[in-house]
Amino acid sequence: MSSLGHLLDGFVTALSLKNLFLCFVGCLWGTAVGVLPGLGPMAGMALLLPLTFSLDPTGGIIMLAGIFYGAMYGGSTTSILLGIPGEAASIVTCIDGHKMAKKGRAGAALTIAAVGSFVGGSVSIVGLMLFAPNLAELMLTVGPGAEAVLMATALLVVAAVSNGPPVKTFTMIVLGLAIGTVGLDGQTAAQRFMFGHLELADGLSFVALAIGLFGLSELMNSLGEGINERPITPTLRELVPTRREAAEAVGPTLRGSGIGFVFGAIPGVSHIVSTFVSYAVEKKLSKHPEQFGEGAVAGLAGPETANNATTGSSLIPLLVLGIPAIPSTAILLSALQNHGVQPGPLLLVEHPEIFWGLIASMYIGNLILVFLNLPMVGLFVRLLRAPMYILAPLVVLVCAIGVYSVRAEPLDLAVMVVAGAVGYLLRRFGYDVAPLLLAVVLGDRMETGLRTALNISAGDYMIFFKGPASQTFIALFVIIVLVRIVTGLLRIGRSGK
Amino acid sequence: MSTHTTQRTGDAVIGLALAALGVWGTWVAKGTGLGTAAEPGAGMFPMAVCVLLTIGGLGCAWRAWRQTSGTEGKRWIDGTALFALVQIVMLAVLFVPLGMPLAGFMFVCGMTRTLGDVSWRRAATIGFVSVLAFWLLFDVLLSVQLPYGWWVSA
Repeated sequence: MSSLGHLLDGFVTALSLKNLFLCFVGCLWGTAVGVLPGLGPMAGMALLLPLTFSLDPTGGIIMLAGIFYGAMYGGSTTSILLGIPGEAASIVTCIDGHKMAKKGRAGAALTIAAVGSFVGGSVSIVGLMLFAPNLAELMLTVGPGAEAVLMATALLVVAAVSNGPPVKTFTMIVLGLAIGTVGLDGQTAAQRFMFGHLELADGLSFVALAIGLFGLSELMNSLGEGINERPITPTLRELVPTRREAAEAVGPTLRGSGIGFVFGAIPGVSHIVSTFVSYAVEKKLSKHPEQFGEGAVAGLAGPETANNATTGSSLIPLLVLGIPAIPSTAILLSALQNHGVQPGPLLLVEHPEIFWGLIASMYIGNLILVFLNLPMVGLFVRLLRAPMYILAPLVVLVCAIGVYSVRAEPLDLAVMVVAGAVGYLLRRFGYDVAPLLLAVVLGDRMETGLRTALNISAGDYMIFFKGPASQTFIALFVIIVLVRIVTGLLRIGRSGK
Repeated sequence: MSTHTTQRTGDAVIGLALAALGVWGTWVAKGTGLGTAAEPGAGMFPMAVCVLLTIGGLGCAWRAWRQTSGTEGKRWIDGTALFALVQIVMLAVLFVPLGMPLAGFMFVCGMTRTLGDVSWRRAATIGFVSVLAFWLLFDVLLSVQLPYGWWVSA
């Protein structure tokens, strides 16, 4: 069947009443967590992850993906109206978006951001649809040795683009790999770090770890910082941009789509990188760079589009390689794995309804989000006015219910609290916890690939260097290491002058 | 331990703690069985990552030791965050024995009262309404399994 035929099937799946409802719920919840400072897509997805276990895999993934890209839309609302990024990827939107709002153009800024998000999101879905099937076919030729090398390369890419000093990121990755080994060994059934606790046989609960590291620690951080600003509230009439503003937004929106898509497809590159690149490009191309930072339309349209274009293409590494390149997609991976579905090259062959249903739902979700973020913006402004002393306990209670509902295991609540406290402390001292969580997810596949390859080769380590796939990944690995060393040396050289 | 530190000291302490965790993990993993190169045992991979964790932790501590900046005062944990953490720990401890409705009510009520400095009556109303809403949403509508505590079971 052709891609178009599959896509039509996908629309049949996505347009079923149940999936349409789940898509709407995901978009609504995603926008809400995106709007609320301190809660990002990761926390929003982690909170509703347990609920997906009672759904079919397609419905579950449609809802979670809705939260993922919904949060990107919602984050821009807070950035524009409050001047505080609703989630990390909206930092750049604050610069010119909030300045526009202060000049009385809040409504126009919201529309430019929403239309840009829609265009960026749509372009990335088309790209995902065109590139993913071909890449998946190529990946089917990869053996266990190459898979282990691929996992190591993926972690290295994550480390290379992570925030913070490399030594801290490296430590977070190995800590994540170590945490991932807790439980019964898949090959020998030996107990690892279980100390007789059979409830740890399946390892530490990923949901508890994710909610603790991202949900609780983010919330504790927000409580410490506090939010005192009042949001600017635009009227419906103000939502229409002037002809000049609309014309100024066209070019940056198109360029932002391309930049966001390319950067999102690279494993490990976060939304923040693509938005900053887009901002830099627009400033460079602008005839009036001095207007950037003072409410330039291009400074809002470009990054906001890039942000949403990144979302769609960041699903490529997950769906094609089975690698969650950013923490939010790790939650999607966990949801699929809980249903016995392994994302990767075989996903399109074994579960085409999930892949194409997801793509079709993203088209629909993008439309829902334009509706949610423009005519209904007043609703989310009201949410921004809700005091933290009410929101915080409710979020924590949802976290506890979510973690407990997965397997009714009290130990998971303890894991969540410890992960929250540790995550808070690590973030406070400049450790990026995202690589830790990705390593927890990737560790198992890395170990399995490593041990299977060594079994096959009777202990010959050269198996990791054999075959075009392994050699390509190793070449990539070496290039990344060399780039890091060279940039590090250049930085030392510059600071020494 | 003092509630105050500096970025440098914090980095060093966390680095050394991670290194200690790595040493302990290496020792435990070794006991699980390392196997051979042709047939790696259950402890081989955990031991390798724990050795790397030790090296990484020591690297973080060494980096902190060499650091000249980051000597300004910093708290290990913000007062409000610490307060919230204590209440979250209590929620986690009481969640199963007392059940979601009672533990949830106590938690929301306590946290709202102290974070927002509102009256006990208002805090109790917020606690009651939110627990009722969660019960309707999760138990009645979504059939999520919730604990109801020993006192309901009895």
